[in-house]
Amino acid sequence: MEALQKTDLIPVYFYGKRYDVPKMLTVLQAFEFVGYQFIRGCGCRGGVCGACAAVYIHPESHHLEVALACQMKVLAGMRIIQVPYFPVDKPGYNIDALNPTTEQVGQIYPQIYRCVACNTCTKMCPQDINVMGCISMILRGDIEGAAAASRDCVMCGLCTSRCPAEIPQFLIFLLARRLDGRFIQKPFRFLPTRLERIAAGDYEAELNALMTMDIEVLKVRYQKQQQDKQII
Amino acid sequence: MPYPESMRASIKKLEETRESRLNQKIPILSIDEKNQLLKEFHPDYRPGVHRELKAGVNKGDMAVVELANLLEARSTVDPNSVDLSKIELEVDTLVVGAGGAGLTAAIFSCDEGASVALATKLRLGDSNTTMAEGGINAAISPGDSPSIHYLDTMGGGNFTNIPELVRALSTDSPLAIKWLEDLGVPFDRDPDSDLPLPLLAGGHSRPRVCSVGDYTGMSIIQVLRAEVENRPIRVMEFSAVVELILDDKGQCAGAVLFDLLTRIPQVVKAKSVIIATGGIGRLHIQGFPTTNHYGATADGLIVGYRAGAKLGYLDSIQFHPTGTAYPDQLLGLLVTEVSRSRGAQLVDVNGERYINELQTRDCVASANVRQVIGRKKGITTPSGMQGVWLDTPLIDIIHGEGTVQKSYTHLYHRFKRYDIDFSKEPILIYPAQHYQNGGIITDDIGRSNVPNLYAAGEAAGGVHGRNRLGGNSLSDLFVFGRRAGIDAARRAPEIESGRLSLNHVFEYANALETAGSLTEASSPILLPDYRFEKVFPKFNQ
Ligand SMILES: Cc1cc2nc3c(=O)[nH]c(=O)nc-3n(C[C@H](O)[C@H](O)[C@H](O)COP(=O)(O)OP(=O)(O)OC[C@H]3O[C@@H](n4cnc5c(N)ncnc54)[C@H](O)[C@@H]3O)c2cc1C
Repeated sequence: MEALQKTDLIPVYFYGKRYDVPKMLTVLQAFEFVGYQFIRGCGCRGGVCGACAAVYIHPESHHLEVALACQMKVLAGMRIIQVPYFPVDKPGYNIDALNPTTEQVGQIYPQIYRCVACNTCTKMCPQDINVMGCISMILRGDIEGAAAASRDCVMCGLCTSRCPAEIPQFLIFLLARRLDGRFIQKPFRFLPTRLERIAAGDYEAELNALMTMDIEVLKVRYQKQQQDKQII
Repeated sequence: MPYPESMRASIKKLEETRESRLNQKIPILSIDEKNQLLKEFHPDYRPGVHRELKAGVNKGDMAVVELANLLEARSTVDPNSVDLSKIELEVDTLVVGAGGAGLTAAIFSCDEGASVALATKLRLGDSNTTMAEGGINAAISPGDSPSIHYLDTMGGGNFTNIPELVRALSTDSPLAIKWLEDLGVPFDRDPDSDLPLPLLAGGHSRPRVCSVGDYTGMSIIQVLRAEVENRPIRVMEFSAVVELILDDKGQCAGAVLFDLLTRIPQVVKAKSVIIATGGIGRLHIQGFPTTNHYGATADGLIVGYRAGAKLGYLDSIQFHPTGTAYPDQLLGLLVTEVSRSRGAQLVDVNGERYINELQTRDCVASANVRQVIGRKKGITTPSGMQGVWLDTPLIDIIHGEGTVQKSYTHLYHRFKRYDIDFSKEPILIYPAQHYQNGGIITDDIGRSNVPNLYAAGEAAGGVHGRNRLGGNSLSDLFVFGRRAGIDAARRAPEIESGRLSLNHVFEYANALETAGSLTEASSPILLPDYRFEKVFPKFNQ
């Protein structure tokens, strides 16, 4: 792979306007190279926050493609815009009062029943999630499956932006993951016991001792604890 | 072929030594040996990287130069241009920053009965928290305990931590896990024991990292964001704090926010303000690349300091041992410590190991610098960046084929886009600026020395001392975000704010001018500037 350098310029079209940018830059960097200082459209710069979601026409296939601008290199001739926000309703819910069922999800997001199985959402996912597949799983009652299969979702909202049924897939998947985490997966086994012991003050004496211990004694104890690292 | 020929020769050596390295044991350094290594090679110890602060509460203290220059700059807003009589919003608790600490503080303050506004610079949830890969610590296994966690943390910080804060951290973090679990954060569990995965992170003597694949932070943020949206919390996105407001009694009484989209300043009056603005990675201390998100520009420290808040550990930065060194497009991005927990080794140009990979980060990062700069055994990329190998294929060799792909979906995709399959080939790494050890000094409920001003999360300092253990930051966010949020709400009924004022901003600028130390800059800077040539990375070592 070649190094990042200032030569080798290629044309790209940001919001329709042509710029010539070094071909090794990411889309995000290319915007900056031509003088953008992001307010919207830039977040973690590491591919997990979804702020820099973008759609572009591929210069060879001429199809509409999607990307996270921080994760993708520019292509010669690409026409690209960012979609940093897409409007969706966010109905409130109280997780404590829910059940991990299709009906429950459908009550909060009734749009899910309108899916026409066109699969556009899947094509729009920059994380390569089988979006329509996850919707079908939920409709079949497989909340756990949808939770697992949507784990890479960065909630950028591109799926929703082209859904003819106006389904907020990314919000539905978050709900599925939460229902799974809360009601389907087993909880940490020892956690309740640990909390009881903490509440009962079982560790107070040990902690007091450590906090008042002579620093040299404490260091010896620390070194021993490090040497006796163990998986128990 | 992903790696250029010039780098492949070294990969070949690494492959040749792999088998003999598999069972090689490298002992843990003694405290003295470690201190010696830090002195020689930790970037914090380089000459000229700190300078003395000339005015304010920390006058006389040393701070990293980049931060000192902003602490001693003029305000980004002209205080005279702000009309304090025009109050946009009045609440009990104003939380600034919507990462893990801010979202938590807002939720708990609201549930405790306070009216809450949550102002944040970018979108709700855009933060360092969302990038956390490895996990969150809590002593929730039978073989572990809060006191073992306490001692690991104190030692990890070289015993410079504030003990009361560490105690709060180690006793409250199981509660944080319970809270997150009940909210539906889908933590990984060891299927045999229903405990956290049996992995040791650097400097920890027991497994205690609760993870969600390598998407831990993102997963938590998505859930907490929804919880904020489910409550009557006034969310203000793209609203950056540019100054705190004090009243005539010297209490914190609100903040001036700057709407980044309309460029209009807004006055929010509040009985308490909780600063949860996170870290300073985007200052690129010493020119290092950073693992941090776009908004990590130290704003909370700047405005807090002008308002009289005491800061601490300003000369102490955490450099993560394994920032990405190749390809250039990914420079600085984090490769999670959990890769080393699963057996990935650090290896130099000759295919040799040089440090026990599961020691604390300050120590391992220093060893990486030593190998590259001191011993000249680094690997050089076509751009001139140098690094050492993280031998990640060991993960599948030790834990079975497919482990990398299953356990590191996020990182796997990230490198695959550049044709690097790190289940088969190593990753080139070098230390990157990762975490601000210091920050606003608080007590164990997040109160600063300024009445009604709190700090929580990375913007606060003390709990981690001069070196934070992996996974302890996420615990810190929920422990202190919760404590601060609840305390602010409970105290709200008894707080009477006086007349609002920005006099402290003038006074501090005057003090700087008198000391001859007012810099050219203005601060807080709010957004980093990568325009034009600045987009090209620097390759400082
Ligand atoms: C890549 C990466 C991986 C990590 N992995 C782990 C891990 O596995 N385990 C662990 O324990 N720790 C990890 N850390 C550290 C940890 O994630 C952070 O220290 C922690 O999340 C900080 O949380 P916070 O809420 O204090 O700040 P942040 O999460 O950074 O949030 C700060 C918030 O304040 C906002 N803000 C900033 N300036 C202003 C302003 N002027 N006005 C208003 N709002 C403002 C930001 O936009 C942001 O929303 C990691 C860090 C990084 C960068």
